[in-house]
Parts: sequence; C-alpha cells; structure tokens
Amino acid sequence: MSDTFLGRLDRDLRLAVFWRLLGVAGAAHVIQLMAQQQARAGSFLHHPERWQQVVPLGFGATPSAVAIGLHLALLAASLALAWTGRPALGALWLGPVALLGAFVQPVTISNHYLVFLLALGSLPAVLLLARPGRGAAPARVDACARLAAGGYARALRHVFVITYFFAGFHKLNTGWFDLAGNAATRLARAQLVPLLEPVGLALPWLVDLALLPILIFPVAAELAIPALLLVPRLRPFGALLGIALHLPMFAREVLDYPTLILAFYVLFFPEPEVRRFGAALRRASPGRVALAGLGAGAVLLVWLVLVPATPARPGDPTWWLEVVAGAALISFFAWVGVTLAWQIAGALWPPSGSRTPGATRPSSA
Amino acid sequence: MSASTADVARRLLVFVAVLDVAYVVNCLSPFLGLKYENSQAMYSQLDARARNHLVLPRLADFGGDRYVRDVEITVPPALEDDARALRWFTDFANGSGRALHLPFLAYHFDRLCEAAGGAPIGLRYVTEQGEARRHDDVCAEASLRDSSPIGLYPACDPECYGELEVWASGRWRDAAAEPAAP
Repeated sequence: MSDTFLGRLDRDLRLAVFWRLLGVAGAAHVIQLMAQQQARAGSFLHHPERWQQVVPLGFGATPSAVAIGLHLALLAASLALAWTGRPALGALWLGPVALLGAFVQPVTISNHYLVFLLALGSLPAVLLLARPGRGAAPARVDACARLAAGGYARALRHVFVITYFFAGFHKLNTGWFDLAGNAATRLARAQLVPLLEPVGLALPWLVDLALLPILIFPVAAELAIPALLLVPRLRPFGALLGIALHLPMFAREVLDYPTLILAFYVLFFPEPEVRRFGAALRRASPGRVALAGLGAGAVLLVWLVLVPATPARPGDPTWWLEVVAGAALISFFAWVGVTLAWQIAGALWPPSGSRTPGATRPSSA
Repeated sequence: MSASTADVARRLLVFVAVLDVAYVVNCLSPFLGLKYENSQAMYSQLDARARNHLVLPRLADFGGDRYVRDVEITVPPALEDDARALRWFTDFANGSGRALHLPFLAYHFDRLCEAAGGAPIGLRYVTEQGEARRHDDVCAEASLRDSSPIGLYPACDPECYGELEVWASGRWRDAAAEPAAP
C-alpha cells in the first residue's frame, strides 16, 4: 500500500469530512469520560479497575492509565493529521484509539466503540483488498483508490443503517413503552411535574400525554432516518431529522454519541452536494445566524437548567471543559441544521425567477 | 499479477456483505443468548435476556446469560475485609430482587482466591430455573474464576449501573454505615 494510494483517498471530500468529524468525536468521548466518570467513580486513570473490569498488569501503572496515555497520544496525532490535510492517515491512527477506548470507557457506552472500530477497522481491510500492486501505473492507482473510497463509504453507510435500525428495533419492548418505568420518562416526569404544579397543570393524564413523545419520537426517528437518507430526494429531510434527534442529547451532557453518529451523515450525499453545502455553511446570513444562535442558546439553556438534576458538578474544572466543548458542538450542529433547513426551504419554495432544484435562498434572506 | 479492477470491486462487495452479516448477528446477539453489550441496545430498556421484546422472541440459547439470584459468599475470617465491598453489592442485589451475571462475579472470585492462598471460598446461589446450587470452593473450579476484560452482559438484571458507581467510587462504605430505616 503506497502512500500515494492512501493519499488519493483524501481527495474524496465526503471521507475527508467524515474522518475529521470522527476525530472530533474521539475527543468528545475523552472529554466526557474525564468530566463525568471521574466524578462518579473516582480518578479516570484507573476507571475500569474500579468497575472491576480489568485484570491488573502486574507493574506500577494501571492498565487504564497506560491505555489512556496511549489513547490521548494517538488521538492528538490523528487529530493533527486529519485537520492538516492527511485525513486518511489520521483515520488509520485513530483505529487503535477506538480499540483502547473499549478498555478505558465504562461498559454503558461500549456500543460507541464498536461503531468506531467498524468505521476505522474496515479502512485497512479495504485498503488491503483494493491495493493496486507494486509499481502500478498512476491510472490503475487512481482506479483502485476510487474503488476503495466507494467500497469504504458503502461499508460505512451499511454500518450506519444497521446501527440506527437496531437502536430503534431494540426499543420495541414493554420496558421502553412503560411510561412509569422508562428511565427517560421517569427523569422527565421528575423535572416536568414541579414546573406544572404551580400553574395547576400537573394532572396525571396531562403529564403522561406530554411524556409520550419521549417514547415515540426516538423510535420513529431511528427507524425513519436511514430510510430517508437512502432516498435521494429525501436525504436533506433525513439529515435534518437526525440533527433534531441528536441535538437535544447534548443538553443531557451527552457529547460523545451524537458527534460520532452525525459524522456518518455526510456519506449519504454525493460529493458535489457536499461541496455546495460546505460553501453554504461558510456563507453566513443574518437570518441564519440568528436562528442558529437561538437554537444553540435554547439547547444550552436546557443543559444548564437541568444541571441540578444530573450528577454534573459546576465547580469541577473538567465539567466546565465539557460545557465549553458541548457549546462548541451544539453551535456547530445548530449551524449545520439551520443551513440545511434553509436549503430545504429554498428548494421547496424557490425565490421568484429561480427554478433550480436545491437552490439556496439569496444571502440577503 | 495484479487483480483486475472488476476483481477488486467484487472483493470489496464480498467484504461489505460479510461485514453486514457479522454486524447484524452481533446486534441480534441478545436474542441468541450470546451477549448483550455492544449490541446497540443501549438505553433501550431491552431486558438483558431479551425476554421483553414486542416483535422478536428469543431465537436461541447459547448460554451466555447465566444470571443467578440470592448469591451468598463465604470467605475465611482473614479475608472478610477484602470481601466486604462485594458482599455489599450482593446484599444489594439480593435485597432488590436483582439477578447477577455469574461471569461478572468471576473476576471477584479470582481476586479473592489469589488473596486466600489456598483457603476455600464458598458460594451458594439459586439459578433462574429455581435450582439451589452450592460450591464448597470456587477457587478449585476454573470456570468460576474465568473473567473477560470486557463485560459481555450487564452485571445485574434489571440493570444496576447506579449501584456499580456507588461501589466503584467507594461510596458503598457510607451506604453500608447508614443505619437501617426504622
């Protein structure tokens, strides 16, 4: 596998964007681990040992300390590569990060690391299967690189579809649809009732009705998003629904999973569309800035209002690191969401004189 | 000789198909009794043994979900201190009607056996089928000491992540020291 072959994968804009976002998702996982798990279960440097997960190494350092040290070093290297023009090489570096992550993260989010592993572990496999051979002509190297990029993107799309399908499918159980027993509705009820009581609206049937969308929306969205993304005309709606599903998760101190899974969305769009969308993202208009600001502000406000009800620790510096990282991610994805909504609106109701499908509204709008 | 681009394309398709099948089987593994973690069932409230799904019944039973109830551990007096945290956890599980995943306990048995230096460690529990079992010395049974570095099933059924955090953080000492409610 020549560097030229690997380097040619960087020319695929969708993969380059995906790898860069995946690197950010890796960082979000580490920040969340430091900020939350350290306070919940002691120093994160020997976190799994405290969860009785890892057999001691037999020398001074704990396995987690070694794993986290390597994890951070590899993550820094892969982020640097991904954001300085070598995203494919950065992704290869990020693979071991995911492997080490499985050993340093608590059991509850091991699902994330499987997605990381599939996304990154399939890269060397694809490179191996599509290798052009020694001394291959540039045209053949190009052809193999195109096949590798296409095969890899297809594999990732399938991972995404299967992940979403089972996330929704597994929820079709009696425990999920039990309004009194579901963990999400229990927490929401505890927060909602004190708000409704002073105005006399804490009626049991009304509270139950208000909580129903918490049960139905995630399942419906998780099953609908892959289907929407697979239909070219409905792709923007699928992406917008995905952002609507995942953005509120940030408000519950969940930075890691939304960042990881939102990285995959770009792989469902053709490269020219991604290029146009990137240009639209860079073109700010006062209306969009105001809308994105309002959206991001609302999510942040919910987060900070919910703080007393969560195990968060406003005095803890690592928690503030999480808030800053969360605010940056919320702002970015709110911006992406508003830009996407603007484009959808532009395509549905084109400005007079324009009939081009997918056309954006004029920047003055 | 290098493969033709058509061969490369075919190889990649086969790779994607194999990956798909493996991932789908992985996600179905709670229904096969293989494992629960890494199956994209997080926060789904799907029972650890996939018995509460509205659409799909259990498809097979490979025996990975070995949950037991009413766990009692006996250790030599010299090991009482070492066993205290584990005993706090098993008391919590027994008291709250939770089943414990037997392989989860294996790590602790191994740790206690190392410290016991040949002294026997006893174990009693009730299987899910209601059968009472007794092991006079878990240290003599390799299968009860084999643990995996990554958990394949939740420690408890129903889950007990909150209590695991209390245990992991050492706050179990405060909980154990609290006087019982009148």
